[in-house]
Amino acid sequence: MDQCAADNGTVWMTADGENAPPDRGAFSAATLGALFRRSAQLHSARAALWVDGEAVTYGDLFLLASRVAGALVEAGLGDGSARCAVLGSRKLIDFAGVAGASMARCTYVPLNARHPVQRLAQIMRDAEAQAMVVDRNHLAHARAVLEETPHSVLVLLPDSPAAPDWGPDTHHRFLSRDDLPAPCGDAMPPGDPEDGAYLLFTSGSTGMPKGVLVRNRNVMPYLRSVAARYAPRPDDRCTQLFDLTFDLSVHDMFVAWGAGAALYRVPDGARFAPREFVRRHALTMWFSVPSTAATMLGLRALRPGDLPSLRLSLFCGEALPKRLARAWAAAAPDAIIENLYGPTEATIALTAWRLPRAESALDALPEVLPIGRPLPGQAAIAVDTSGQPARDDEEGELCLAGSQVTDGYWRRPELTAQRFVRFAWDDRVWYRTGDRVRNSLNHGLVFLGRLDRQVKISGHRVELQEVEAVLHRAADTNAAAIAWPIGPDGLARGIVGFVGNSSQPDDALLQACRDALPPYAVPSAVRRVDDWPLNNSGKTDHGRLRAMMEAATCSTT
Amino acid sequence: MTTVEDSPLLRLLRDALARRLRQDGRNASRIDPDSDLIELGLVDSQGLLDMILDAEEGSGQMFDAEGMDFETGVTLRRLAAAFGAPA
Repeated sequence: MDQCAADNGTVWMTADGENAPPDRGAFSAATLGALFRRSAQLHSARAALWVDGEAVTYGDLFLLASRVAGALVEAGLGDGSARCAVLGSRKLIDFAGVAGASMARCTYVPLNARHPVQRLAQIMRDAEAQAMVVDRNHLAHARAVLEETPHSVLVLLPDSPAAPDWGPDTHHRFLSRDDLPAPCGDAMPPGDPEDGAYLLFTSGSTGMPKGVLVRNRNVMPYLRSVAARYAPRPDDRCTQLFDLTFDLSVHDMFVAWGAGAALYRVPDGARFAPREFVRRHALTMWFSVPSTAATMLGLRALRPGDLPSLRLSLFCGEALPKRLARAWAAAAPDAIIENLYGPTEATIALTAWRLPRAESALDALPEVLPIGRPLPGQAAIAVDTSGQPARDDEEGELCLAGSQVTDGYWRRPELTAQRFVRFAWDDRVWYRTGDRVRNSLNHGLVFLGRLDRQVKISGHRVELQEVEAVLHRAADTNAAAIAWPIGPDGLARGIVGFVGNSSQPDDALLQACRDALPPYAVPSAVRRVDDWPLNNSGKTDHGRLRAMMEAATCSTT
Repeated sequence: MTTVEDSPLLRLLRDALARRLRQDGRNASRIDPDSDLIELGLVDSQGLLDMILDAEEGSGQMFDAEGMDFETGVTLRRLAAAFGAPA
């Protein structure tokens, strides 16, 4: 690890290849598709996936994925420039869709079947996805999305015996299970690091979701770093908790599959408190947002010694409170515990910090645990308001550079130019995260909060302006805003809408939010404010709204 | 003997859920005790925690997470059955 002084601040950099393994099998592949194919060859008889009570071997998953890949290639979508949506909710077909699209050199675009049709159709249009993989449970949802998709889409239905009877009435083409070509995975194109790996859409402050294209040259360095740092093994059993629309799911799938390990999809009900699931399957690797641990703690399902099988526990997606980490350390006494940090724009996670086991060392840590230092080949720095490196122990905006940093936002050059910048003191492109950090020589980077109005709800990014845009339209007033209550552990507990003078009833406002936003971004309640608070500039005074929420002084209808 | 069907705990949980749903602008008139609250999108993790804490406060009994199989679904009936020791 190098620390380069830039003026008085510190750029945390890690040289390319530091800790790099001599050869870590499938992790040395150039693309996600090649990684999966190599692992399937090496570990054909081992379990790749445990889903809905059944183990699926690498061999079987490969056969299913290669039929998807074959259909995409036959349709002329295998040249590295096409996009394939995967619509579902963490079912076998969804995982096969991701693997198949990757093997065919398609960029996969995950669509969460629990999100509103309006949003999914918007993403289909923005992504211009030429294909879509759908499992049979989500055909009705697919129909609604496809009806709103003006361009023609090749719809692959790997577990449906026939195309839907409404298919011929559309301008889309459908291939059911029996229409898919025979497995031909070995003949797949090799792939290129420049190929898109996945295209994710996150909350956008302008009211529209924004896309981030992550290429194979961005994601493979991350996977190699993780392989070197944690040495996943074929006998590992890994949690799968994240929706595929959350980029941490890429870690779930491809860390496990790169190692020949088994990925255990935690059933939806058990995602709240997977203690029993982890114990029953003797899982060895855990990866979640801190909120999951907070829920387990709240339910008293995280007691000392509860999780003895874990050898590694990773947290990412939101701030990790020390209190939670302590409880986790007691529950998983044999686990290495790490706090990972990274925005989608810098590919899954770019920094990591390991929890010390000694009580005295824990005592000395801040209440919100550090996010540490960059992974190999990456760089991180706190930058002050003048664009200069912040002095050590002073606050600044966290900026990131390195091979994991993506090229920018999907077809949004102006937004890209705002966030992906060059500084006078360095010739690299830096991604401005909007996260406020302090550079501590003892602990590395310490997260302090946001510079803007983004909030994390159970690890999901929510740009409050996006929710407010929906409320403004629905309430037909600009006097609408969002605030977010903070729980005792310091994590956001959902969001609350505030509306001034509007004739629209609460249920209409909330329904408008449900129709446009993913569930985690829908306010839990709407509160009416008779005297809308404005600051000296005539804009909404968010501080006063927050104070109102905390004091519960505004009337609720 | 009081069955889970008409137990005060079931009523407490149902009321807590109804309050949350009303706040969310949703109709809470008919909540079947065997409906999967997660599958129907009626609660998230925070909502579940709040419901359980409300019921603990109202009943003086503690929720025992070990007595609940979250994997097979989260229903009001199963939640009610997992309350046991005095709080």
